[in-house]
Amino acid sequence: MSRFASAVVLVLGVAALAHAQSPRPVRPTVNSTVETLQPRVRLQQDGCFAWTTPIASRQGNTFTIEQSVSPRSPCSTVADVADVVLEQVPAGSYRLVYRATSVGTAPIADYSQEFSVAQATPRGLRVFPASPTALEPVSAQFFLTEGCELVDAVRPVDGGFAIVLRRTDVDPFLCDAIAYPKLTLGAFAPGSYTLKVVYRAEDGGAEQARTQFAVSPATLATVLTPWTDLSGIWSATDEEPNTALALIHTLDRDAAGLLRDAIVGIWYTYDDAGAPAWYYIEANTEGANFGTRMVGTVSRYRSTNPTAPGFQRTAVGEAVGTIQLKVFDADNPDSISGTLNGRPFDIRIERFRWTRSAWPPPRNAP
Amino acid sequence: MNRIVLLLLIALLPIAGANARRYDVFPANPTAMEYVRLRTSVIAECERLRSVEPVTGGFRVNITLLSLGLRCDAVIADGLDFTLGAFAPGTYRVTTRYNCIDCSPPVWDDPEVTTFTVSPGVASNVPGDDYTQLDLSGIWTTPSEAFTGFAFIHSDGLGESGRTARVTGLWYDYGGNGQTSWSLLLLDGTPNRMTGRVMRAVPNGSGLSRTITLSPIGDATLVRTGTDAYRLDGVVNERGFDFPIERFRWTRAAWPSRAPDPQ
Repeated sequence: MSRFASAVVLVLGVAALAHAQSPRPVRPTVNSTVETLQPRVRLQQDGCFAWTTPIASRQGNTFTIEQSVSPRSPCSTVADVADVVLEQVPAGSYRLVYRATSVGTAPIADYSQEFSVAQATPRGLRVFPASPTALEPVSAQFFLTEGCELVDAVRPVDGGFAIVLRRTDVDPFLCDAIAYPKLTLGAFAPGSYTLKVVYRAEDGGAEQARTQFAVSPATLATVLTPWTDLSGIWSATDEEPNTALALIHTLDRDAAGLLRDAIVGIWYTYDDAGAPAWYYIEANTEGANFGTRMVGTVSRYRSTNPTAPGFQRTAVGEAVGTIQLKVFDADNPDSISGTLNGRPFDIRIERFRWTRSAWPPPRNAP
Repeated sequence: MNRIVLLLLIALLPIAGANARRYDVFPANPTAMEYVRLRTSVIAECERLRSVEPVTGGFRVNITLLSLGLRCDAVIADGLDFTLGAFAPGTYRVTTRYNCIDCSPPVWDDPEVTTFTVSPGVASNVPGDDYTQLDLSGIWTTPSEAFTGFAFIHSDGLGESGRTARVTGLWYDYGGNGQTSWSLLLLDGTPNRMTGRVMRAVPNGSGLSRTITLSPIGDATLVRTGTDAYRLDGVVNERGFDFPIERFRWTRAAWPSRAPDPQ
């Protein structure tokens, strides 16, 4: 990648290049790993700056990588990549913090990310994320003999799920490669689940691998029963075509610090000038009454430094309306109402449905 | 009818009601990985849904009977509407197990069974084209761009050469003046690499009569770069971008931790 192209990455405005006296941010990438191996972290460093050898340390479940950066001229003509090998750790969730000390350059913001170390299992069976929460999509990955095994189905079994494989190894010459496919298992209620990889009954039914994962609930201790998750894409095809809502149904805290259910969301619509505009929705159960599930505000954000690099972007929100979310029973459409930019709205919305690409119907062996 | 018989009948009411428990399933015909809701009625002060657990062939809903007696009259049933989850294609059975400290036996299974079928994606006629893959649908963000994100719809499609992965993305971002703006990513390809156009929706009319014209403003490529890592690169309005994206995670409010039973 050219210097120009590398500098443009992560940048929304070309004008920002003129002010770019700070290195392109280093975004560490952690190799997926298992407990029998040491995690590796790759640092892609800006070749126009000098970087000291990164030093890794660990405290509890947090790894920290630190290095210093200073100006360098001319720029390096080769990719400036540093690989850091972390210490071997047990299976679990970990956090990586990257911290660069600037010497003669603009400050660089710290960066952190979570990563997981999986249990070592036959066929390398792993579950992602390592610690899913209720209704969060859960994926699995495991080794397959490419060309000779296919995923037939995922079936619920006592205490968990079985990934069912079918064998297609009619020609041994086709079976000389290993694939490491990844598939989305589903999204589940809280609980502990066993995940097995088995052959289908016609192929002997032998178990190939097994692991476990736990789905955690929300930390809400005042509610006695679960309720419907409103997260997802919603649309108003009949009343506001070509617009959409992306809702995240989660929790926030009231003035007393108690958790309550809440919605945040992005409303993709258009402003008065006819330009595509998105609005930020924030609503919760405070002030809701019979027939209204949540009440909140609609805000429009504005970047206060639109020419700055994306990772340095600052934005401020301004309330431009109110919103009420009504959820009727499952037979009737839900609706949002309120005001936006001084104008009232009352729109029936419905969950946007689509056929996922993830699970095609199984066919006969190729 | 003497008083003892009457009390006995009242005490048995919830059990009799519970033994006919069925669930309404929404949507009635879910597709793979689409969230499935169940609805049933519970006797508000007498029954608590405790958990859902997988059993061979489906799921068992565990309900605890908290008390018996007058207040457990089935007439005052409340609706229980909850999200069961999202699942791979197949037919699933939903059954109910009751736990009751004061009952005999203390645990019993409802004979009623509700079933629902999750349908797969579209079928391809290309041999070997039925591999499973990750569902990328959901909210994604990038650590490289603050205050922005993507809503991905990973749908199924058939191209000339068989099944194709298709991501429609709503990218919420900012225009050159700092105002919020969104664009549309229309990407096709393989599970590991999808390319396509970035489009801007230009509306004509408003409300019910709104139509839009999509005009291209750039190109984008979504690439899988590791086991669980993706990058999005391309050009929008002649400005290049290249950044890692990661799935946005949040704690759903739908399944809270167990609260103490009312006394």
